[in-house]
Order: sequence, then C-alpha cells, then structure tokens
Amino acid sequence: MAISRLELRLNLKSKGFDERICLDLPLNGVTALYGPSGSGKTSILRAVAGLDKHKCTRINYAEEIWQDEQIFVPTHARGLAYVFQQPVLFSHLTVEQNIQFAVKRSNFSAAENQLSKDTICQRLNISHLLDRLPFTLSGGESQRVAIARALCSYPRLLLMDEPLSALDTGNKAEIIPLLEQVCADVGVPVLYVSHALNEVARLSDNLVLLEQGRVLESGLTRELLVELKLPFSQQSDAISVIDAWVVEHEAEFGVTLVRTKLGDLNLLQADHLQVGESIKIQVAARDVSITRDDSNATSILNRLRLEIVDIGESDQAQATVKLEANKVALLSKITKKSLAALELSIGEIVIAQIKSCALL
Amino acid sequence: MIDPSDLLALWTTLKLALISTLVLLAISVPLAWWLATSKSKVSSVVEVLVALPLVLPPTVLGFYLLLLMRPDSPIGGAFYSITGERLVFSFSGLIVGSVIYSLPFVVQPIQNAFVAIGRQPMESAATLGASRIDAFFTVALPLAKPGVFTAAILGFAHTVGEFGVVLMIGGNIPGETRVASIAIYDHVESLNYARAHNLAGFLLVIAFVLLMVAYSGNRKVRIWR
Repeated sequence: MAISRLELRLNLKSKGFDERICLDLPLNGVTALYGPSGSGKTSILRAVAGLDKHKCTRINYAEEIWQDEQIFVPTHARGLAYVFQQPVLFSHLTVEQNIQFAVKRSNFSAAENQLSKDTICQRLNISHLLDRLPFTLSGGESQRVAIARALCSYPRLLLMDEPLSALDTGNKAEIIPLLEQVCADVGVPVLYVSHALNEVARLSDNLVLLEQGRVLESGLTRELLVELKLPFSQQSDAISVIDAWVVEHEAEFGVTLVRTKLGDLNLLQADHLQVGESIKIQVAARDVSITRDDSNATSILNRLRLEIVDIGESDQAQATVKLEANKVALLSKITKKSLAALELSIGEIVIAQIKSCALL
Repeated sequence: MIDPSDLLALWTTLKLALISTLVLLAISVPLAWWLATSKSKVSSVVEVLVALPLVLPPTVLGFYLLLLMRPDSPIGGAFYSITGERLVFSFSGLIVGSVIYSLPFVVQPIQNAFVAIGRQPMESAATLGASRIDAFFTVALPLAKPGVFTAAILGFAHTVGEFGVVLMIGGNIPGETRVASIAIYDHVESLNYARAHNLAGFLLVIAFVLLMVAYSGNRKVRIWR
C-alpha cells in the first residue's frame, strides 16, 4: 500500500516571507522541520493545524482537503493534535481530567493496534500524577502530560512545536527516549519542529530544512545529515546516523559487537540490547579520524576501510570528509592541515578510526 | 428597629439588584468574550459605549433614559404596546436603567479575565477536537470564573448603591421604585436622621460584606493558582 501524503502549498506572506512553501511529506514516521528561529517552522505547523489562516494556501491530508480557496476545515475537525513549545494544560482540570478532555472529543476511536490511555500514561511515566492539578507539576512533568493528552486524542497527525525546548537538559534526556518509543508504538505520523540537531537525528525519519521561509532541502534524515552541501555537516556537532544489528556481547571486555554496512563496530554500555536487535547508532564527525596506516597498532577499536566520496570545508581550520561503503555514509572532521599532510583526495580508500559511537 | 416602609424599600433594592445582576451576567459574558477576542473596529466603539456610564453623571444617563423610555418615544411605546406597562416610573424601567448603568462594572472584569487567559488554552482545546462553543464552556468560562464572580458582586453592589438614575427614571413609588438610597434621601430631606441612620448603616454593612466576599474569594483563587 502506498504511503499517504501530506501536501502543503503555503503562502506565509503575512510574516514577511515572500516565498511560497511547497512540501509533499510522507504520512509515516517522524518528519522534522528544521531551521533557525524565524525560518517559518512554527508558521507552517500553525497553518497545518488551522490555527492561522493564510491566503492562497492548500493543505491536502491524504486526499482530504483541509484548506484551499473555498474550503477551510476548522482545527477541531481536522483530527490532529498539537504539542506546544510551552505545555498548555487546562489549569482548572486535574491531569486525569485533562487527558479525559482529549479522550472524550476524539472522533477517531482507538484502533486495535493503538495504545490505550492507561498504556500511554504509563509509557510517559505520568500514571502517578493523574490526581494532581497542573500548577503542582514540574516543567518536564507538564510537558509529558501534554504529550500524553495529545496522543490520547488518537490524532491522525501529531504536530510538535519544539516540545523539549522549554525543558532543562536533564528533563530532555528523560523525555527523548520516551517520546521516541511512544511515537513509534502509536504509529501516528508526526511533524516535529526543532532547531536541535541531536533531537532531529534521534527522532526523525524525514527532514525538511528551512531557511527564511524557504525550503532548502527535504528528504531522508540520515541522507541529509551527511550531505556536504547542507549546513548540518558544516556544524561542529555534525553527526552520522547508521543502522546496525547486534551480533554479540563480549562480557569479558564490556563491549558489544554490532554489524553495519560500513563494517563491524564495538559499542560500549550496550549490554541491555538483545542479540539480533536492530538499532540506530550515532557517530559524531569530530570523533572520526582518518589514517592511511592499516596496521592495527592503535588503541582505537573501531577501524573501518572506507572510500572518500566528498571533501568539504567547514571553517577556516577544519574540513569535513564524507566517507562511504555500501552506500552508507560517515562524516569525519579533520583539520585542513591534516588534509594537506595526508594528501587526501576523492576516490581514495582510507582507514577511518572511530573514537566513540553512541546508541541512538 | 427598621420601619416597615423602609423594609419595603430595602426589599425593592435587593430584588432590583438581584434581577439586574442576573440580566447583567447574561448580557456581559458573551459581550465580554466578543470584546476580548474581536479584532473589528466595531468592537472598540462598543467598548467605549460600554464604558460610558463610568464617566457620565448618573443624572445625564437618567435623563436620556427618561427620554428613550417615555411612552410616546419609540422604545417606551413599543414596550407599552407589548406589555401594557410603562417603562418610566416602573420596576421594569429600573432594571433597564440599572443594567445599563452597571454594565461596565460587570463587563470589564469578565473581559479582563478572558484576555488574561490568552489564546493558548483555546487553541489547545481546538487541537484536541473541541469546537469553539465547546471550548468556550469547558475551558474559557471555567478559567474566567474568578472574573465572573468579581463581576457579579460588583454589579450587585453597584446596583444597590444606585441613586441618580433611579431618581430620574423611577421616582419614588413605594414597593415599585422606592429603593433604599431614595428612602435615605427622603429621610434626610425631612430631617428624620434616625431612620436615615438605620437604612444607611444597613447599606454600609451590605457593601462591606459583599466586597469582603469578593476580595477574599479572589484571593483564595490567586493563592491557589
């Protein structure tokens, strides 16, 4: 079955942008809208939700017109849910009543494969908060309730506007895995606005890169992240995301061997994974160094033989090298001085040494 | 201690205040919502009209109301042909006068409460599948409850204390339009200070108690939030 799509033709002129935004997004998995503040991410989300009404706009949700010249389906009839940047809970209702508010108004009753209200509350770790009033909750708790409430309306599309940006680092680290898991389990297509590269890398399958109200690029997240023409690879925190399968745990050394299309890698602190489990790993470009020396006389465990497919500049002193094997890419950040000393060029086979890689 | 005719005046006052408050709330809640959310130019004109009784001398207001409500005027005439009752010098006329006179005291606290809620809770409700009318009754109105409470108390108290408008359009008919404030004026005119004292003291206590309730009620809400 073909994946249904969300087609957007937006004109955000009112915000000073003169560009038309045309997007055709798959309605599966998480699609991230990424860009600096003021790039129109939130405007797009609000237009999709029907919270703002722009002229000359066409929104087509899986062959159901939400807005065009004649039609404007009001927000409440679109069957979507929205998680705002700041958690907006109804302060006169308890957590339980907040969630019931969503359950009662859901037109789209929970399909069999969807999670129950209780399961959603458990997954987001708010079951013990149900009797509390919103003003007694911490920021992280409030946002978890807001996310649970949104999911409990069983939306056909979940819109999230930087849901983690108002939280401190600790809260963020706590929510991201919950969010990742719950989005995957609920099976709702998600539009996720963010300007944090690590959130996007971790949560999204598809990526739309925005700048000044224009779409610079859209496509698969893992492909765009390693595209040297795009700003992701030029950032100092550039990363590559790689699919992997768990091969075995080497308990003696506390490492886990995983297989990727680039070659085998050793992961630390991954002994909770099942052998055979498929995982995503994240490698920071600055943790990847390049050598021509293929003797194994080094303390670095993860050494891969890869082809240089592209070389780009990232700043005055640094270069980004895109390495590849079996059509899977890995970024490496090295100094321009090393680039010159090693006389690296496109098409060459080199050894990439990965200092550390993390489980996503 | 209180003379039966004064008791009747007090009863008329309380009845007038109670009915006026109910009418005021029925008008003010939707009006305040419209004023708080509308961006049209009409709404800013209406806002000024609502606020007019705050600055107009009650006698000016009463004078125009008298002209409008006379049986030979279109409005007064229409009312007469429908109900067989005159608006001027009648209890019904007093209700109309009180509602207009106290309108800003009721509309403004409710409007402020709606504005303070902001658009986010309503937007949030819409994204959870609530229609505008649904969200109004389940989100906006409950959140504005402290404002509505204050408005009701202010409207009631302000109607109890009304004098100028009543004098212009109601006169001094016992059991119909003779309210406590008019009775006090009468007693003072006829140098009957003892009876004036009784009534005045009574009104003072009512006013104090009402404001006390309003302030402590809102304080509880504030702290609780």
